[in-house]
Amino acid sequence: MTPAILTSQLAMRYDGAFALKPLDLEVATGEVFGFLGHNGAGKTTTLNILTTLLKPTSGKALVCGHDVVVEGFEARRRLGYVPENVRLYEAMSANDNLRFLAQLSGIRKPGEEIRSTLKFLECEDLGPRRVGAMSKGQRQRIGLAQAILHRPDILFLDEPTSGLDPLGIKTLRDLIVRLNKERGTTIFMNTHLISEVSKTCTSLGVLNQGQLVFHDTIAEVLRRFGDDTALEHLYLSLAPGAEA
Amino acid sequence: MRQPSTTPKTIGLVPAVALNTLRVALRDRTVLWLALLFLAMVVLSAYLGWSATNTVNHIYAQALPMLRATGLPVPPNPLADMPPLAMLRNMTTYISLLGALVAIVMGFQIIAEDLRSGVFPLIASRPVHRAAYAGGKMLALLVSIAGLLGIAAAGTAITVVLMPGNPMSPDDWVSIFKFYSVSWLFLSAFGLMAMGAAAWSRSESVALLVPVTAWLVLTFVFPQLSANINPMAALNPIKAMVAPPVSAFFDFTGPVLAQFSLVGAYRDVAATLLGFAPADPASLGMKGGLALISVANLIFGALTMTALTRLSGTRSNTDE
Repeated sequence: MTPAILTSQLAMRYDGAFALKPLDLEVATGEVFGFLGHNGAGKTTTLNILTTLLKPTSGKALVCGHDVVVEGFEARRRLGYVPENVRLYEAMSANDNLRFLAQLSGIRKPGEEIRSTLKFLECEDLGPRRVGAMSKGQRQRIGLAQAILHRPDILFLDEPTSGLDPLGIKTLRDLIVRLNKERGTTIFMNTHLISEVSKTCTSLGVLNQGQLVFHDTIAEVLRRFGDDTALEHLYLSLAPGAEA
Repeated sequence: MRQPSTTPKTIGLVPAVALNTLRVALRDRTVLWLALLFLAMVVLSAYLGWSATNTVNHIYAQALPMLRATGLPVPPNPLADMPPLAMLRNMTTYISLLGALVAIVMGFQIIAEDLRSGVFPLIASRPVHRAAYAGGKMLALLVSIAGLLGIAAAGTAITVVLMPGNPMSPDDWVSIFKFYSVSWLFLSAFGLMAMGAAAWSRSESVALLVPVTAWLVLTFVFPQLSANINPMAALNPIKAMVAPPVSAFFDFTGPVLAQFSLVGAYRDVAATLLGFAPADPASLGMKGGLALISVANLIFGALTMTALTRLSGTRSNTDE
């Protein structure tokens, strides 16, 4: 089966300095992949390249078999993207925002798809509400809704639980797991929270100073190193200076 | 997995982007207030023109019996040969001043809103050709300006019809239509310039200052450099009929700057259409003026298209 993500010597430089050192990574279809690393490790740069928002300096990346540079349009058809801080048109309702993004995704019946997506995310009541009047958690759900409206094969999330309260974190985590199990969506999630990875992900990669220093399945990590605490120790030893 | 989406058609997305842009613009209070002020001034200009004409006619009518009684020669009414549309002459000033500023703010906001709100990276992550996005944004601008001028034209028409003693012929109505069409083309050039600047510059202040400076130069500096017209005189809808000073400098700058004087070209074309000023031999004339305004639109349109298609997908002004 074609891997959901395949990168080969993928690198990004800013002013000559590596933001992402040559990266070889494979994420299988159907996985929930946690990309761990502290702030500035290069996670967002990687995600921006994989979502076609940024062109890499060198190397190659395939998303669902499509080169993100050469076949960016095809890659974008198969992916959904939720930025760290979901921002939409504040003065417009969630429904109006979603309708516009649905049209851009080529959805034939936007109204129907918006209703079913909001139902899936258990937030139908948010549809008519103005985005500017929503809480962070509610915005995050609408952000998730816009990303899965077109039923992408792979969903990219950049620090999805950033700024959410414990209840918001749990709700979002449950939604991500449901999305993976019920729709078979591959999830690629940037985070610096180990608890997120151990509770949500099936595999993880650790990025430190632009370099991938670890990549394995959660099951294998727990088998080899024990419980969540051991995972934390492993992360801190791989990415010194990181805040757990 | 069921895929409810199809490959979006580039052309089909242009109206979708445009419609959404218009929806967002209609909620923008800055644009709405500026547009309202512009509309009020345009309608007021028609009244002011009628009022001035009426006052002169009234004074002439009062002076007539007195002149006859004293046996003095009776001069012809100075406004008798003035076409009825001449009373709309102040509109050219409001359109070239306030209208151009409204167009600049509109063009700027249409792009800046997507960058400021942080929505642009979401749009860039969708299967949309950047040309469709750019086309939609430009279409929204052109429609916005057309809507604004359409309302202004309706206001003018109502004012003209309601004013007594101002019979309008079918040709006059055609001239009004032509005047607003040229005004649309003229304002579009400034709107497109502002859109391009908003896409090129990461700083909102710079993005707004560039088109405003260009407008100031075209409106006030060019007339001064080419014909020694001071900035206050440049506000007058009727050109100062004083010839520029005889000097090698003005002999050179006059014809050279006329080729680029967008505001000058617009005012000449408008004066010809409304019939309130004699043809200026130094100007580009009707055809030349229209050509200059059209070329400006093509250049600014191409620059804006280039800037929008090259806009980085990660571009968001929310972090600045």
